[in-house]
Amino acid sequence: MALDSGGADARSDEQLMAAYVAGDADAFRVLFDRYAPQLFRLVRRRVASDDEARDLVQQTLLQMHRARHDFRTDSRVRPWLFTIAVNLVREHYRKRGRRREQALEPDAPLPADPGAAPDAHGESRERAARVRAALSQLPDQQREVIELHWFEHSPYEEIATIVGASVAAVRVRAHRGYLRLRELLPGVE
Amino acid sequence: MSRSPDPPPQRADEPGLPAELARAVDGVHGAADLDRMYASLHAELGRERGLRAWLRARSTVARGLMALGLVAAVSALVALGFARPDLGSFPPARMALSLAAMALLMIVGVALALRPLQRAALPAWVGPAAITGSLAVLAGLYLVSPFDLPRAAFDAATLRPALVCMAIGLLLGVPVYGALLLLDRGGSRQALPMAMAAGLAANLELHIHCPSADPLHLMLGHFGAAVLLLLATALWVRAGR
Repeated sequence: MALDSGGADARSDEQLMAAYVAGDADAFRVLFDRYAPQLFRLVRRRVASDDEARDLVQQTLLQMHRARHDFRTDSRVRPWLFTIAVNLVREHYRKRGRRREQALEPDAPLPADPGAAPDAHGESRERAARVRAALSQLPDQQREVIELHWFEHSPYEEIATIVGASVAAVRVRAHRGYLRLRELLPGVE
Repeated sequence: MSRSPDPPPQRADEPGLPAELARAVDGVHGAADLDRMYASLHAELGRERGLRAWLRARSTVARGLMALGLVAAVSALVALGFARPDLGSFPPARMALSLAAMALLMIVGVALALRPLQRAALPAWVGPAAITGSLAVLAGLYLVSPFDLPRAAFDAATLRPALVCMAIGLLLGVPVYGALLLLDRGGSRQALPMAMAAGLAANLELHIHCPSADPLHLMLGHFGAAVLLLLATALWVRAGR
């Protein structure tokens, strides 16, 4: 197994997936370590609790396992996983009978930062709450694109694959979404 | 090739908002607790054993072929052992059109039912449109008879054989639904497309077997079996919520 200078597995995601399909169980652990934190952040923004998010991330990786024989040489792991996660979140809300994803639960307390000013935590939490409230006011299609683009730094081409729209449509949704967010979050730039 | 977690470079002309705002949102959430997640996932992977796990781990193409193969096998059995006695006199072009339409719509149903989660979700209207369209095509095929028949009376003489065909249709359709359930990977069960595919398979097999060309019989017995499968599934899904 090739290691990088830091001792981590140097194989690409696609090489790891191919190894996993061929029966290398350790490759799955490496993929888990690489993607579980990202998937948790992606899902956690859209569900009400850490436990729900962990459950959905587990389901995402379980679905990746079940779908492993669908993985082709020209497939890419990241959009694969993000598409599964996005679809599972949608299904999560469809089963609950809610069209719009509701506001999240009250913020968990932030860890103390000894170097920060006394009111920094409150300020940060307030900003986070404002951003989440603004995001929840976007139409679902715009919100999905904004979250993938702004939070996950996904390029539009990848977002188009994940949400099943053209790149042009994704750009329009992003443009409209960002405009609306700027209206809802005055003075953020 | 990708190697998480390096983000791709942002183009200068792409809109955005300050990155620290995004970090502020993520910063208020709890920890992923990766070790606990992995332990739970590892346990779940350990339970992925047996026939059902093997079936749903096949590729989507393989799963689709298995479902269609089951219908093809049953259709062949019906054709060889229980074919309609009027095959010689039934207009061949009309028979081909009916069977081809039912088969094509059933393939659409199977494709919708087994669509994998790593593919972007289809627009919400696609499923209902496919189901409505397939029912409309079936009704069109049955209501426009290839023969000039006298209108049948809605009486016991018509109802009894229609109910027998409906029962046979349900017996033929339920195993197809069951097979699709076994092949389903979970996560987003497409119950109504499964029922659509099962109903069309039943109608295909009934059409190979049943000699009646009477629209009333076909609508009550054959079309009725497809509608009953869809209704029962819709009620079951609603009850499960």
